[in-house]
Amino acid sequence: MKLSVAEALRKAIYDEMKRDSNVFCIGEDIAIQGGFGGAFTVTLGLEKEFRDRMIDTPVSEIGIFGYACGAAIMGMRPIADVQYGDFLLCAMDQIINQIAKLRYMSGGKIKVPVVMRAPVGVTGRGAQHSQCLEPYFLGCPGIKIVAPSTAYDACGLLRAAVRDDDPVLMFEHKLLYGSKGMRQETGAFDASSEIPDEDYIVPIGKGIIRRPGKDITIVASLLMMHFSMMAAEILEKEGISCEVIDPRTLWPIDIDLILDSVKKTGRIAIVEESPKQHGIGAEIGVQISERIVDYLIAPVTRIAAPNTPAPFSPVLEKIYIPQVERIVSTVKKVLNYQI
Amino acid sequence: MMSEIKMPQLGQTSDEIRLIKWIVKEGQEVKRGQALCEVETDKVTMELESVESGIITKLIAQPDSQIKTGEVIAIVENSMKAMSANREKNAEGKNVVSSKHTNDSEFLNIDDRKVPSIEQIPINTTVKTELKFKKNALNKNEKFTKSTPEKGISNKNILETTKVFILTTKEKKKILDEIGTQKAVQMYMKMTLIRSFEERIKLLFLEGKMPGTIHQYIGQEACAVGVCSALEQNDIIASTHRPHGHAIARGIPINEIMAELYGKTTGCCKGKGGSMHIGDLSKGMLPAIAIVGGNIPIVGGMAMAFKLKNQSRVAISFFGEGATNEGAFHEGLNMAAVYNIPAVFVCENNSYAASTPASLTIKIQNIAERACAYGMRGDIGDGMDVLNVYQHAKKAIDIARSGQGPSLLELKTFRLCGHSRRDPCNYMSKEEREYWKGKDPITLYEGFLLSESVLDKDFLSKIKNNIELEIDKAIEFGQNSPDPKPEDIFKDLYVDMEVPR
Repeated sequence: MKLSVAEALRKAIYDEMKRDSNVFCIGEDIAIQGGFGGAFTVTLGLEKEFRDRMIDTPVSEIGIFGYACGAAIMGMRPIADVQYGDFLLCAMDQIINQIAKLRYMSGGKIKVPVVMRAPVGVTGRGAQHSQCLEPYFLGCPGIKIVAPSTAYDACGLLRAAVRDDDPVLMFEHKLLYGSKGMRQETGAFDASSEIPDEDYIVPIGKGIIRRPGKDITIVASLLMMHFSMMAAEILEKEGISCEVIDPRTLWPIDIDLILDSVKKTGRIAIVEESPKQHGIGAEIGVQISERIVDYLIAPVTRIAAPNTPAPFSPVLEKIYIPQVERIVSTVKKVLNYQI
Repeated sequence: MMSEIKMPQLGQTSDEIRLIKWIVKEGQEVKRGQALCEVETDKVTMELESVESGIITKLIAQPDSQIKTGEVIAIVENSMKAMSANREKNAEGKNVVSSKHTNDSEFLNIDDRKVPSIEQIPINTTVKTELKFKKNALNKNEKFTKSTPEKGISNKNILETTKVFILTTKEKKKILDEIGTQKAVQMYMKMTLIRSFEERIKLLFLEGKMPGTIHQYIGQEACAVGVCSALEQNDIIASTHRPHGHAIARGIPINEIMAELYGKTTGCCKGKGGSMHIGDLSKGMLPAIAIVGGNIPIVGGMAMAFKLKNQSRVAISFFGEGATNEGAFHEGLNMAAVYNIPAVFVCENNSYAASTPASLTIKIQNIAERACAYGMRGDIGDGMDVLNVYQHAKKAIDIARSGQGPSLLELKTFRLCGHSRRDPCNYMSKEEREYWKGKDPITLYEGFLLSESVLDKDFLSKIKNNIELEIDKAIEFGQNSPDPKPEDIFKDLYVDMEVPR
């Protein structure tokens, strides 16, 4: 059946809770009768079947992640949820100092299988509700980070995350949850997929080539993946063949997939909705430089947000987010580079 | 054999230390841990303790001179023969000390009528209100319903108000009957083990033989032992940056603790944790959480898991009064109360968050009063009396286990040592330190057990000797255990994947 990202996530949570009685959800507004199933409807209605395992919390992010951490250590499989990814920052001690480090500092004696779900994306809400926070967490060993751009991947990655014995942080994009009904909002993008009935997972750590090409490799996640696909379409008409890679997992990133592609194309652009400074593009760029620099026929290029907070003004916001046109024009520049 | 006593590294920055004056003389016999001289760094003035036992044969460093780290300052004669003779003499000495105390009625008679009663101490209104308030709370055994006046707490008030909670000898006897002598002696041994362990590793640090830093538990032994003695095997505790006492009380083998302090693979965290992360979940203790207040929501989550899984287990969070000013405390306790989970939040109120007195940061008298803000049961115990702690902890744990919800249990206690290594505690008044030294939980409990004939002096000295030997073995085990291999750095992070390089 065809499901939106929000519906696919809901299906994954439902299936996992059905499969394993240790799985439970914890977060703000997730299971209030007459409420909205979390800020983006993902958990809507789940309380009807799993009242005891849908834990509504006070507005207490330290509490949410701390409780999830403790429960996970004792054998539960919590899915902890924040309304906006920005609120993860309230719980940084629990996420970075506790969840990510407890296994290591115990000498590998304990497991902390927490799933953390966080909506991101620059979406008309100003600086404190519109951040793309991936880089903040990419510098933290001990957690795995996934970022599904389609409903199929959202469902498969969430199942994989729940079954994974390590902490997994899932970034979801606010404009990809759905484009209809309650999820209708400016810029909302249809990322729905046909979801098979049978159980499947999308393995953590495996990227995917969304569109094969030979002239340049474009790496992009979440909404930027969709923008890159649109850009590739336009560029194709102009005779430029783009290979679009969706890493799906940001850490551990499927670097071999990217390196193999760059060996073939000799060029790469990384598209990021987060500020350019110290982002995932920087990491990928240096890895290419360290390992396959001889294959490059043009400099590694980043197409990212400026090094500022997300502005509110729709005019500025449009400049802030890498738009399809910016991707197209930057790729052309890379193609025109002469040694 | 002659040993050189060298100037240790004091603090992170200073390698120039001024020797103010010698406290000992040439020809004098000193014991390990005894103050040798007064020294001054750019930050503090402190007494330098001897890292050797023996006879001072030469004082090399001159008073009022600058000494460099590592420079030899004195020579001590301490041949193995002399050492063992010294040890035997020590053991005998302990007997002598005990028999001296037997004749000292004041030592054995720990009936609290001997302690100045609350009436004898000038009481300000805060204390009076506290008394009235406390009486109500304790009689009903339940929730605090109102808070005391807003006046800040002075240390003196803390000292005075704690008298309110002191058990009478009769009450102590009742608890002793309940727990039985075997358990009572075990509790004593645990407390003594903690104390000796801490005293010994303090010296190892000062000698520079142990890496890292330490936060010690000297003075608070009754808290960890009292609470852990009331637990069942499947219960879980979580500790702080000051975890040695909790770990020993919970039964983590001291070999594994010692090896962890040395960063060895045989340590309870394979050398990946260190002093501030001692613990072993399989033995009922989460690796200690060294972020102040950090363990509180985690313990809440563990208790939530017990409830979701319908298990008859209790989770205990230990923390200091400083942690109750953290957001994690507020969020963690509020959620615990809302979810009615089987947790006990044990606040060891030792009056100081590092060097900052609680009176500067907390406007209420008792931390336990904070429970009422969450609709949670609050209670206060005497953290210098292991039987008192046991009684209060047992009650809170029973309540939690029976599904009646969490408690905030405040234990009034005191750190009879520095916050971390080499802290000379210059922020504490002499009067205050003396007062609390007089309430040393081990001395008091020992006196009680002797007076009740649970222990005799022979047995006592045997216990102490055995503990020293056990610690000797643990030190040897720690020192001789293998270091991790370089490639171990990549192990133990993820369950099912290699660390990407």
